Amino acid sequence: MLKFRPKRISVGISPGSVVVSAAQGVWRRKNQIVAGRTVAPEKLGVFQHLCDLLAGLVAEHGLQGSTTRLVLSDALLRLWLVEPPANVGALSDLKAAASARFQSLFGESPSTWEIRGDWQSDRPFVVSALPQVWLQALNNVLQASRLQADAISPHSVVALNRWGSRLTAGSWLFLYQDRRVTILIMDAQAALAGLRHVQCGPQEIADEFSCSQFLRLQAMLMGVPMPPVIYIPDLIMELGWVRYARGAQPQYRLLQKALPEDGLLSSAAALALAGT
Amino acid sequence: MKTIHINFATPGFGQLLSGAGWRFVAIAMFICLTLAGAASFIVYMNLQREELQQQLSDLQTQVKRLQKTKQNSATSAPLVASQEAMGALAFQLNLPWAQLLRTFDGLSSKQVALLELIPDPNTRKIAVTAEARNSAQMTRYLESVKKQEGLSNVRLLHHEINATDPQQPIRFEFEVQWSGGATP
Repeated sequence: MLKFRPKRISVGISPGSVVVSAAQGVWRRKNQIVAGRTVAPEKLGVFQHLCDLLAGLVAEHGLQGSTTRLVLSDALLRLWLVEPPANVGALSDLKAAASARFQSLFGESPSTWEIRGDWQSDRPFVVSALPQVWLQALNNVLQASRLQADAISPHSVVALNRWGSRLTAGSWLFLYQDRRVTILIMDAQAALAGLRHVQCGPQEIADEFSCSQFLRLQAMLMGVPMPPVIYIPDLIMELGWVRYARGAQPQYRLLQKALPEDGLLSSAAALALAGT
Repeated sequence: MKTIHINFATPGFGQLLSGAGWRFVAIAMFICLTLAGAASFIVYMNLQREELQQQLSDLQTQVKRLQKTKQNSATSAPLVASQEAMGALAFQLNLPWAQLLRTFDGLSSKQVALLELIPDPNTRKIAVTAEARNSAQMTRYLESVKKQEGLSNVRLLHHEINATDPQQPIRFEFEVQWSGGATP
């Protein structure tokens, strides 16, 4: 059927689930979860299975032809910050610096990884890498399902672009997805100055005290002071206590205004809603 | 904070239509529509101009035709001839005949008879034919003509003795420049 304007959907993909959300309503368009699927335990970590789940969701809900934004969990890709080398002459210099940093951080060759960066020659820039096989599998599914992907982005980048203007100087943006924490550190000019991506069990952030201890440890490891404010964009299960944390030091501030009915999001649902 | 551009999606039409792309497409469409409007306006103006030029050339042709007709009628031979004739007639009528006749009547006597007086308005000369009893009378007459006010350059053109006349008078012709009265 010929549509005047293709439907826009957002797909959140985490290691354990795939969720599709779309703007619904005629007058007041509100982003709502359309459907989601969870990976069977025996297939956890198989990216092809996540792609199959996405294809199934699209076919089941008749979403073929939609314009799609895909938000990938930080757990599925690699994210790091690169200091641009002195006397940069060409983009290839920045790419070489990013590849060298990849090798030193993760101890493997970047040849089988698809590397994309926000290339900057005058300030530190974010670089992300996704296995080429996974990207190929994702593109195959998008093509088979006739989805027009206008963006496939990491969750951290989507969150930073969405909430960057609200972040104050010296604050942190705290993301938790699939047992992984991403901490984005703002400098005195509220520009991105540091990035930390670490494994984190749910018990380490299950309450205010544990979370504060965990964050103090991370600050110590990074050699930066504790921030006055920590921003949390998506209130997910493990951070449910944040809504009731008053007078805590550091301050926890929720950025997400329009939360679903229960106020808590599953991992992939948070990703999907972050993309809309 | 500046936007971070990291996107694993293959560049395509989908990206063009997303986010700011819609605005870009809207601006591009606006520019295209504006250009199309301007182009059609130019075409319309050109058509109008061609039409006006056609009308102008038609009018010019019409004016030329009218001018030609007018010229033809003005330059038609009978009219020119009649105009010239009328001009000549008016000139002839404007000549001071009375004054001339009075002058020559005063000169003529029993010795010299005036036979013919032909004025030429263009050269302002009067050709006169007269008869005198003898050459002395002729010479005297010419001298007296010379003395008349308004007449000059008296020139004897021809004289002969009329042998057929028993008194054998001298018939002579002379011309005289007339400088007074009406101008041609």
